Amino acid sequence: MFKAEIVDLFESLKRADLWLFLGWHDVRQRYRRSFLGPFWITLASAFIIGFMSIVYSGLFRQDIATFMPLAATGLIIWGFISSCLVDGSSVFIASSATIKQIPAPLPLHVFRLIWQQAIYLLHNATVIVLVMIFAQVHLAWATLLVFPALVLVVANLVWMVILLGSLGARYRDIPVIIQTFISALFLGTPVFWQISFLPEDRRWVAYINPFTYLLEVVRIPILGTSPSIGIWGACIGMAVVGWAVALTVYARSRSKLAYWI
Amino acid sequence: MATVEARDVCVSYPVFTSSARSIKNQLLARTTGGRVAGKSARYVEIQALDNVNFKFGPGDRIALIGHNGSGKSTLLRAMAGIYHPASGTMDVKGRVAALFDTAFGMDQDSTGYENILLRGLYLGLTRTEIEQQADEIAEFSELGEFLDMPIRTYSAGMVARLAFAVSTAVNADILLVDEGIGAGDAAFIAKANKRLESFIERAPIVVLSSHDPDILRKFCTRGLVLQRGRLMFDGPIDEALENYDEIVGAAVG
Repeated sequence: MFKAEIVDLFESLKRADLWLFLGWHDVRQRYRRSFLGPFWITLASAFIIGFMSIVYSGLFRQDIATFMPLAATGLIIWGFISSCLVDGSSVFIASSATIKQIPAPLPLHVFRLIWQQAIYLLHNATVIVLVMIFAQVHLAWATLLVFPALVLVVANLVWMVILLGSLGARYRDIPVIIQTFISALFLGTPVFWQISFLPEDRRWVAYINPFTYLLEVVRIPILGTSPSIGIWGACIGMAVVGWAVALTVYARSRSKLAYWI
Repeated sequence: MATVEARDVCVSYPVFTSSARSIKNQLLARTTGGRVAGKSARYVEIQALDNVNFKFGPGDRIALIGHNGSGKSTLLRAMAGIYHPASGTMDVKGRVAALFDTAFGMDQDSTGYENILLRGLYLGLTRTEIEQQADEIAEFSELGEFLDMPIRTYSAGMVARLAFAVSTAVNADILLVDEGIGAGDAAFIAKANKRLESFIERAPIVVLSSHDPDILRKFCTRGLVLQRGRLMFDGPIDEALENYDEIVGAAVG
């Protein structure tokens, strides 16, 4: 089952030289000849997090030292997930020239995009480190869980981008829909608030949102504790179901995609 | 062993009107039985290749002959695995290198050396393979110190030279070339021709699409004539070119 599709994935991994280079190239090209390069994004994130912490920790009546790490990790991880989804919905449209010129398996373009976003994430991670020093968050063994958590998030993002990218190439509403709804989703995800801030009868908002789990699985270890089995389970379950759906849609699209774009 | 075998290959492009691309119209068409959005939601299919059959083996030097829109580029893309046949099978064994647009993937703001790497990776070389060949490519291109400059400072001829030098560094079992390979200014052409010959000689299978009969005669031994997606003739290059002239003559006369 899905033999050709899985071969595509492995063939794409084999061409890591190309997509690793192109991902870097995308970042460098955007900031070429600028003084701070991609650290401009880091600086912008630092300001957003700074102001948000001052204002919202006041509004939520929270201590700024406990609120700031929450906001910093939330915004930066959300930034990674949301840019992957927004750009992912038009990943094949954006790569149309390459797809028609270069014989290469399609997931290669997905890997390029996620790697490119991962580079921004790594730049932004410096803000998280600074905030943690400022807020004196103590590292624990549980902090190391951030690595398997990120692997799990990326595993989920790959299927999401394959799915949205394939649908988006055929139905041009998809990129627009994602762009429009992503900010609504932002408000419904505990990015700069915690589920415990909500009265109990409204917590369902966060619980029904799959992105809550993707965010928390990375955030909780950074803040020094280990995520519950439920969070791990939700992320793994999402990956299993998601990959099955994405492979089904991709299998139906892969032979026609070059004609759609 | 490198082979390319096409069995009853048909390729058709769907051409969507913009409303066919919209989910709303597709859903409307479903709920209204296709009446409201029916006409505008239809899409046109263009038959680009129609029941094409052939088999290429090692040593084959193939010319694709036909006028614009006859299906040459589509056939090359089908052999490269970019376009999947709607029906029939395209069986390709061997490492494929596709030179459709030789300057594709070159980045204006990157230096000559960076572009050697970029273009080489696009062509399917690994980083180490490119690094091994970089000096040789640099020397052949005769660009010297310019290789450390962004290529937006180059003249068109210099870019063409660099693109040519990288493209011809590829080793592949099956070489697909669309519309020839430009080599830049006249002084460079003699040198380029030698490199081009050895490049073409070392690939087991070469498929070349061009409008220039001299180039086709020089490099190819077998010609395939395409017209409106159909394979009209498959045989020795001279006969193929004659056959093509007849078809064009018939069309004009």
